[in-house]
Amino acid sequence: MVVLQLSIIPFISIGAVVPNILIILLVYFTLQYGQIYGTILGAVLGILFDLVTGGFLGSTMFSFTISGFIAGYFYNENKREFYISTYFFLVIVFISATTNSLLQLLLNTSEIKLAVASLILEQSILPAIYTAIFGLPVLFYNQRKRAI
Amino acid sequence: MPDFLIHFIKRFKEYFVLLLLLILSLFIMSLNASASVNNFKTLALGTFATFNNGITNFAGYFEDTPYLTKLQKQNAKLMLQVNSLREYAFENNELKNLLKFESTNKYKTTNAKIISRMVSKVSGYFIISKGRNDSIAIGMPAVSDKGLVGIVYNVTDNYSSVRTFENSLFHVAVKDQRSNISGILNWNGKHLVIQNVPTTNDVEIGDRIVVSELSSIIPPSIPVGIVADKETTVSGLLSNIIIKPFAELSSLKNIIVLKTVANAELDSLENNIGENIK
Repeated sequence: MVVLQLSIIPFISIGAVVPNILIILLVYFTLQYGQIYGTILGAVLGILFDLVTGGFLGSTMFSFTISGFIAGYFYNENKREFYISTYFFLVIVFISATTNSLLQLLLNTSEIKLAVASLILEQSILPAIYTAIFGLPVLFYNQRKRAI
Repeated sequence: MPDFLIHFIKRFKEYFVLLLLLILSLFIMSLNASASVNNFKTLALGTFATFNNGITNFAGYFEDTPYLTKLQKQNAKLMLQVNSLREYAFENNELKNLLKFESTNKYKTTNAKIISRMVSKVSGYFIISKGRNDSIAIGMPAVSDKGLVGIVYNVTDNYSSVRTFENSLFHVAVKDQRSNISGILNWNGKHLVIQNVPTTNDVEIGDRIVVSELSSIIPPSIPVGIVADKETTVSGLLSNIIIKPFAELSSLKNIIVLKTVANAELDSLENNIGENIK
């Protein structure tokens, strides 16, 4: 998935707005297996991502860990199927993706002097919305599975 | 007491796991500068780039041709020559006694395909298809046929990582080609900016910005971009110069690496001056 994120996904970017399929994966497994699982999975995905991109090692691990933890707040053993087969799944993906993007910005920028609103909108919310839209196939697949 | 502690940990085990992993990630961040971590990153880069190269080759099978690649390389060489001619034209206008034309293509170049790109507004990186085996070294500048793209950041045997100018860690000394006003160019997340230039300095919209002779990491006179806007800061004494880059990173498929690295002798001299001042 990390290879897919870095090689195929940029082809479908809109400007610099790129969907983050790793967040979708993270949220899906967190809602299935719980908060601790999601937190650890976030850390593992993050460190793998940092290693293959050659960027600042540890930064993506930090942001993915927190994103997995936040997604874990929505975990409920009795409502697993409900959360992954309704539009609530997209909301959770959006929240996790926004958190991830904001933390990435804070960690990777040393001299950024942008207006806060522009920072939050262009580099956090827009990518998060695009990521949530990319969660639709996962949602539709789970809805069909549930219907069967 | 131990029962209370065990109960406490069990109750808040998610937070303890989170805290542990965050401390671990902060510890890893602190190790970024160490040689062993860099070696590990280089190994991971090489492994990943091999897979990615296969995917990119398949995706670009019907697009790139050797003829197109050859034309792009030729274009880049011509761009460097034309820019040099422009430099000499300015010098001539200032009544300097330089009329001799010389080829500026004194750098060896190699063409490389972009096989992966980290698309981010603040940490732009490319992975290219040339590495140590092609005589690529850390610190070599990367250009397109239009202008500066970035600098080689990490190298394996067959692949390299290029830090593009759309990266908050990328800084380069540049100058206005017409007025010779110098400054440090960096990326603020949205634009290329030369910050804190005195408002009285002669910088006009439309001026060409090139790498300055003051840069010890990139050879001088490589085109960077054009002045798009001037933003005066609150005090009115200083301005931020917004630069529109010549190279369009989003549409690049190939880049040229200039096989030249920072002048080791110059770096040594600068380091000695720094130590003497201390």
